[in-house]
Amino acid sequence: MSFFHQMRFFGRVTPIRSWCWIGMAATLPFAVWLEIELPGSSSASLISLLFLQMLAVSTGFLSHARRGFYDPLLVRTSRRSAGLAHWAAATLPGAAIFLAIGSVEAIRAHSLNVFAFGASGWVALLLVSSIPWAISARFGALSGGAVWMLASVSLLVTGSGVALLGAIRAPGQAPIAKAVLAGLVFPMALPGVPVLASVLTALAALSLASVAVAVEWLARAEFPLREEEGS
Amino acid sequence: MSGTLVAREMWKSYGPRHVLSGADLLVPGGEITGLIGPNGAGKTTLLRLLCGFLRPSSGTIATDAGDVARSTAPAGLAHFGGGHTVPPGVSAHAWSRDVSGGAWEGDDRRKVRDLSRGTRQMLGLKATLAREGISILILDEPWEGLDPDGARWLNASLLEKSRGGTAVLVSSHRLHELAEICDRFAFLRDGLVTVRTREDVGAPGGPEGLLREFDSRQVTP
Repeated sequence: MSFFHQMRFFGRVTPIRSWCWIGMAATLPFAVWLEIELPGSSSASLISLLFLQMLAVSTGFLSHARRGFYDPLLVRTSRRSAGLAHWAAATLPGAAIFLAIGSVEAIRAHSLNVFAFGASGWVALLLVSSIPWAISARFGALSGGAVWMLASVSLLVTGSGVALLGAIRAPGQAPIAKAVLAGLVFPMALPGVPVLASVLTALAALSLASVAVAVEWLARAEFPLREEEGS
Repeated sequence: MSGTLVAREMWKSYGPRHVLSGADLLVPGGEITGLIGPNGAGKTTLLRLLCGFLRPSSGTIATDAGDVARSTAPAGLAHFGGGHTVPPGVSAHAWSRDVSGGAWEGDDRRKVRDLSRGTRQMLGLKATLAREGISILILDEPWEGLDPDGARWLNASLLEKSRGGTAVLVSSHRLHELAEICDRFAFLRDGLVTVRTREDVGAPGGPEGLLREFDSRQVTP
């Protein structure tokens, strides 16, 4: 079974929730409208998209596998390939809209030097596409996005998040570990900010590591049918 | 395609409970093996172990090509675990196309959740059996929900597969169906498998011998 067929299978069996789709799709005309009305301000739509992408990629793996929904695929392909295809299927729609919004920015600015296409923009997309997916693969649909969002909002409400945000916005002035933590907690604050390359590298590495850990876990996981376990 | 599946000394425990306690099972190519056991005996667990969905606590699974790595399905294996394993939100047409390349009648765009239980079962079976290159076929309660026409179609399809060299393993409580098509019977009880041939249980004469064997407390390995 080719990687493309695996992606198509997962896209059909575990589709992105329709309200996520609608929300993500709406960010594109929103970006166009912003660029017409307030040129250079479409980053607001990018931030909305990153929020939604967190939830969109949280499609979950284990719960579906334990209902037998993935059986026809899992007997025909390696678990690692299936895990990567599942991640790709969950990530690609949001990534495509991210590219489209970046293109709108770039067309309006007559330059590729826009928020979406900067290094911090790509890393933000990678972060919100990988860590929530990895958490949800193990703990169930929406868990990754919901936990992350809850953590971000809680930190902002309690005030400690504001100091963390400062670590992103003042590159070189905060310890690298704090800046990395800030990027992890508030990835949507990254686009357009001149973040240190070492911080971005660490964030990208953490994102890829989360996917690798989740895929490796899926490769070893057991998928008893729900009623079968312990019965 | 010809294939043979061999499970040796399979142990599987959930906490302190042993579902399988050193079960051995041979599923020869070109034959149909019926897996029989009371509810909760571990039939589905055994089938999912053979498919690589579960890891045995100990024991090995091998095919003609050699040992199968843990958490891996043997090459050429097709499996269907019942209508409840077909995702409800997918259209019948799309599901069939994804699983087998398109084996479902017509252009049925209905969602699986809108199909009757029997139709869902037929959809899964047809898609599974239509796959090419199957050397090992494992079906869990395949007659569940089928009407007499569907059951006849399934029996004929399984016989055709086995004549082509496929190793077929089916679990079921439908002793009449099993007696009609199976070459061998694997009784799972107390975590162990006892195999009887068709002649051993007098299956050519009907399911009575199977029922006696099923009921018998004498079934010991």
